[in-house]
Amino acid sequence: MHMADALISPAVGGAMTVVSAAALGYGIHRMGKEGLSEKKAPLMGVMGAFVFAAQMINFTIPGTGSSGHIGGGILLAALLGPFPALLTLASVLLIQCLFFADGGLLAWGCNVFNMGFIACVLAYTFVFKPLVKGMAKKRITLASVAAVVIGLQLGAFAVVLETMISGVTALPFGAFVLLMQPIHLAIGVVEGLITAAALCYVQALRPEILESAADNSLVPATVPLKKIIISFLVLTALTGGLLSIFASAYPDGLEWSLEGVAGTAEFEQEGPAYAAAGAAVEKTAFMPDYGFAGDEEGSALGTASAGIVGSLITIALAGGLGFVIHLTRRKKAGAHAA
Amino acid sequence: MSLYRSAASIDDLERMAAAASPVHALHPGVKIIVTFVYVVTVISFPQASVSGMAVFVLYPALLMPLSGTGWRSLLPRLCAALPFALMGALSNLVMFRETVFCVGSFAVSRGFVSFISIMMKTLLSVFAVLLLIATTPFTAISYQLTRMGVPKIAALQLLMTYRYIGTLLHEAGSMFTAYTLRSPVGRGVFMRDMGTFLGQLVFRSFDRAARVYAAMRCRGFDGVYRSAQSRPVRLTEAACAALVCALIIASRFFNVSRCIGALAGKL
Repeated sequence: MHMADALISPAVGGAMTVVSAAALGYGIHRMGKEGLSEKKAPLMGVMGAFVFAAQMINFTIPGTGSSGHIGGGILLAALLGPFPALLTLASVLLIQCLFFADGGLLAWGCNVFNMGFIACVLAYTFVFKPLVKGMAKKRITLASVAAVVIGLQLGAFAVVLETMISGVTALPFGAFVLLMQPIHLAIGVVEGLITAAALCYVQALRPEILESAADNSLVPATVPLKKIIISFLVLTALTGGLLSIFASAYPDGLEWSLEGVAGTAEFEQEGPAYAAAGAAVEKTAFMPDYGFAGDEEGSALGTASAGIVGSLITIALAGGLGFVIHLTRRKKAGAHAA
Repeated sequence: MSLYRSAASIDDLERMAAAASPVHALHPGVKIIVTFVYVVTVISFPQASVSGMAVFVLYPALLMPLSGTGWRSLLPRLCAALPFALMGALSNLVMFRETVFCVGSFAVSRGFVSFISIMMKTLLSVFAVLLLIATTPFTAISYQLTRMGVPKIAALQLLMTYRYIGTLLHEAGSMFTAYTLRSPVGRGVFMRDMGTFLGQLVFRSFDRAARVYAAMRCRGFDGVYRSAQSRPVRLTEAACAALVCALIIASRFFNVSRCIGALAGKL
């Protein structure tokens, strides 16, 4: 479910990063207030590594012949409490993005929201905690399966919404939803059962771990969560809206700045040299102004060629330049060694 | 990716980041900012734009040899980023069938252009992030993040997770080996055993965390992670970074490849 940079727009990526950062900031603030930062830091660090390792363990799904791995949001929230779990998962997601190209840098905010905030904060607080009361085995199983399934369903739907709003892919909304939701329903049931089994095991042998996590849930009694969620929604809408307005009103920042400097978005240049250059560029523009040139029949090849040829030359030049630097550095290293 | 292979992959990148080159010597803050500007600029290209992005290949093409980072180490990591992007890109290939231009007898559809655009964006943005991590130690990145306003607890958490990934991967790895030695059939852990397996790993993690905390307290840990102060940014580095950022942003609005193509056509 890790989203990649290439499938989101900067507006969506930016808005979700602001929202995730706000959620993390709120959690850190609460942890500081409760004086948990220092005590929880090593535990959160090690538990981050635990989630990382747990995601690498493949298990075989009976009857299907396939294997899977867990996401670990609810498990982490049950062991640490919702906000420490969110912070832990956020750092795991950043490390996965940086070291394993799993999820993008710009998409980090989306991934923290989809896999962290929804599971660790929303699903844990509204589904897991009310259902698990008493910590009986049956209760833990019911709460785990319900929380993981709901968390994954909401997360998958958030992926669909973020992808759709970004407008990068042509996937139709209905088909995308129909693809994502059932797959994540199956994954959710399996992960829910495994989470339940792991929590029951922990509860049987070291019950104090789960009790301490439930006590340190860091959700204040005075501030209703509804308010927090509404604030996050408003924040998302505001930042996303502002960024989108900026993107659509000023689709080309340079044109915008030219308008400010010169009073017009396009320079009127006169003289034969400008006319010749202008005609050449016009004729050979692959995608002038990001539209497609050559609506008239027969002109398409001409208009496309400069873009293709230019791109190939640029890439070849870049590669050639890189190779020359590589050879020069190797020669230098060889001379040093001699 | 297996447990041991992931640990080896992190070790690999750590070794690369410890090497010496002009790129490694640059201030980490400068590299973080340039990488961020580069990624955002690449992602901001409209999906129909391919030729405008071609010039962005220069960034990895120059940084890789300058930093001595090899293809072989980066290529497998690039592949990890592909599946999700490929799904989106393929959907465009199927959905947008209208022809936008022809090359000889080959009709190029809008979907094909968009497919290339998404894949280029994926490769370029992932390359930039990998090059950052392959030329900058992670401790330096965490320290710079606190300088940039990230709360210390978040940076500490990031650093500690990173520090203990190797340890816990090996811990989980030995558990996994012990399990597979006892049950040679099957590819991984049986689903029915997974809960116990994870529960055991939870205990090991908690015990490890308790030992880590005790050791840190013994060494005077008071909630603040003290790392070596990094040197200040040199004026030349700041100027270089500003110039590179300006070039990156200018290339977003000025299609260099199109001009090269037009020039080549004239010649």
